[in-house]
Amino acid sequence: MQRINDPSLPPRIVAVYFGEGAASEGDFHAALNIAATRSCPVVFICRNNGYAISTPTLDQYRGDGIASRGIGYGIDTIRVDGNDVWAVREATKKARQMALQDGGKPILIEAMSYRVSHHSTSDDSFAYRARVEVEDWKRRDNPISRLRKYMEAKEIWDEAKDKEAREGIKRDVLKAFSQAEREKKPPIRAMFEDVYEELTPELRAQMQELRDYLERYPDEYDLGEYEGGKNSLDS
Amino acid sequence: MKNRTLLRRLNRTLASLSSYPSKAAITCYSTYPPKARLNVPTDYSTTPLLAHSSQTALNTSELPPDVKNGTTKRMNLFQAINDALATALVEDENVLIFGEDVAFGGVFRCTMKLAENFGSERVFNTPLTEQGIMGFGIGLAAEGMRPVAEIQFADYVYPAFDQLVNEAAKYRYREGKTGRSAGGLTVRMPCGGVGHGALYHSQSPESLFTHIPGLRVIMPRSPLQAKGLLLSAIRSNDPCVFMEPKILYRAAVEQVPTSPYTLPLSKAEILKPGENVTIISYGQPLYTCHAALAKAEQDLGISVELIDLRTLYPWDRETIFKSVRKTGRCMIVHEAMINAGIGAEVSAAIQGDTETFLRLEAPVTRVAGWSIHTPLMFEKFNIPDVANIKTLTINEPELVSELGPAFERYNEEQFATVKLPGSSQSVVISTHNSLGDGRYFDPESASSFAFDHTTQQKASDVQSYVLDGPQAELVYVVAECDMPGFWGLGERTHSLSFFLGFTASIPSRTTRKLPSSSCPTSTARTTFGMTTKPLEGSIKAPPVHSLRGGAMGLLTNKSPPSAPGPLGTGRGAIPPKPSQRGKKYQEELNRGFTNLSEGAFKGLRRQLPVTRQKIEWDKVASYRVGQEI
Repeated sequence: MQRINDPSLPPRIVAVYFGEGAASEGDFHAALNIAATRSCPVVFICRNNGYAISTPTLDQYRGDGIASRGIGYGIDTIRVDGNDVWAVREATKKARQMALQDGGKPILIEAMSYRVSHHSTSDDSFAYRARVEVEDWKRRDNPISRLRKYMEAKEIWDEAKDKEAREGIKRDVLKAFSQAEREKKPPIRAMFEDVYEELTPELRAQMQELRDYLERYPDEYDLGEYEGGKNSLDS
Repeated sequence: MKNRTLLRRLNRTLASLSSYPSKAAITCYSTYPPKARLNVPTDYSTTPLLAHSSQTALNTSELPPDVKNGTTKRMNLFQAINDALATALVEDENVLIFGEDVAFGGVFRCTMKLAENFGSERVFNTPLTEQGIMGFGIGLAAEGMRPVAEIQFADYVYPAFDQLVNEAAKYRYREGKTGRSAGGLTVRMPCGGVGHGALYHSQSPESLFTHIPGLRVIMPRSPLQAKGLLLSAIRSNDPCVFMEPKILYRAAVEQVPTSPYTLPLSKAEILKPGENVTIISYGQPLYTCHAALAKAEQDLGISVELIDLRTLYPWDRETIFKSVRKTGRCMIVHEAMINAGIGAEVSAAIQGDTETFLRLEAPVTRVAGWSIHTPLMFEKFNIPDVANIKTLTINEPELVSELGPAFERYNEEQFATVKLPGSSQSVVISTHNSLGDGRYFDPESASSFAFDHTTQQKASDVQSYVLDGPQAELVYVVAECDMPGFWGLGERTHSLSFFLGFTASIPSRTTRKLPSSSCPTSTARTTFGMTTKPLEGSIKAPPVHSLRGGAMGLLTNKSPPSAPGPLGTGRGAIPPKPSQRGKKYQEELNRGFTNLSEGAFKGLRRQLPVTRQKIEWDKVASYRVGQEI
């Protein structure tokens, strides 16, 4: 739409990433349907990794994965091996091209994979699946080792480069951590901002109220770590 | 070395992040300042809000006798909920439990072992769709099952709103006589902050549900409460939203009776009786409130009443009103945003209840989350803490002094009365006898006195005060009133004053205590005993306060018909016959009473026993307004 008004803008598409679990939500279906009927240049990229936290795909759907749903909504759909970096790249590239054809249309990609990690740092996935299953996948079909093998075959990667990269990256991450830890936290005022474009009178009053508490009880709050301390609350 | 410290810190952070769902306890890992005295972490192992001994647990007054004679077991909140769910599954084969990740025990372990023990037909995973879960549950409930649906986080419930609001809540209403409803449905969801949940894992959306008639919204404060309330919710024939403060899942541990029991819905509980201020809360903030009131009582020597609302809608108005009528001050505390929250509803109801309103000695205050989204690193500044709650509690004296002018105006406009030391006569407080600086003039004893507007009780520092100037002679005791209660005044006596408000601002008054027994319903008689001297002014009858019926306004401000008079001040004149004016006023009043009693009479006729057109005139005749029929 923006390009109709301003043809100098580069052609753009929207890429939407989600898992097979999210595809059960009502908004997935609503989004596919409206994107199809309104011919929106959207590439829906579903990463089907077999688990939504603990829920396996067997509890998630009974049809032919997520890809079959795209066809139902009249959307061109492709299913790729999600553990093959080049296949995913190729499919996405083609999908982008197609999405911009005929004045725009949505495309659905279902990338098949397996979640070798836990759902999050707070999840222990061995409570609902066998450790051996995970190890098996890690060994048999691991996108990282597959890419590494490909690169080694092309002689653009080797053990030395691997070691160097691992150490370098680890160093960079730790450096970033220590830098971030030294930085002050954002001002307390930020808590009230960006709720509305402008602070409302109510929020201003609440800021003042909070400032009064902080002033009245200096020992009860640790404000040193926040940029500007309590003064950031001055309106 | 430096690197190691850093790593250790990193590990610690990761460890605390990994605390939910299946590893160590959910802990709020935000630090607190070293010198803090108020905002220290809640010590759940000592708080009197949890039953640390078996005896305390079994002494819970609402438990049935057989449970009181039973045994208890130490449980945290998720274990107590698990226990309640298992009980429900055993008791009623219509109970089904489902939701996202429920089969392996749920992300908060509430459904642990249930699928194993009761089979995957009754305890099972659903696809990741909240509206689907809710629709599924409503269908089951409508067909007579007792579904217990779990929404993984209260933050995820929004896609299910249409089902909850338009289907579950309205089912009974739209079905009418078919008697079908979604009443069997119970929806459980974890809510509230844990210190690091941020925008999508720490919301408390209870007030979005309490706005929906038809839903019962419940939030337990402890394991013992959770078991009883959840079993009540499951057995209830209304759709229930059961919200579990997730920080308490592991933090709150107490002795819980092992036998099945229920606790009443829509019934608040007084956790600690007190005299000076009522604090109303629910869920986790109750622990914060308890810590705050302990400090406030210690520092200020006040006594605080703490009430757990338990069911947030429909809530227990009676217990709250009764408490606030006793203490006169009230504070409502919750974690959710202050705007249009539970506090707004409860405080509006308090001020809307006449009897409670009249007992209020300070505005109802709310301590709640700010009107913002749940922040991440600012969470500790958003959730009510001990300092917040205590500040407002100790603010009372300050608050009262800030309200001084309001009290003064109130007392003057309402014509408050006070007895001077050593006198049996009451003196009216009004703008007319104000001498400024909080002092008032008593024409009877010709003295001035100071009045404490806050307590409404003390007149002190009486000094004789001589009026001089031309106004002095205007001071008369002009009106004597025999004005029986036009309202059902009950057993109280009321003081009623008539004023002649003068331009010179000097009142004349009499007050007279009226026993309600002398209240004929339609014959009010006002006699004005006036001197013959012409006067100028307006007659003012003050509003009458009836504690039962509320304020009744009789304030008139009529200018007298002008007539020439010989008054020395030369400021206009007064009708030569004040009795005429009295009569006119009297007639107006009489008309009012006639209308009033006619209305009452018609109401009476509708209600009194009428047999074959024969009206029991004795009963009608002996009826007095305000009497119970």
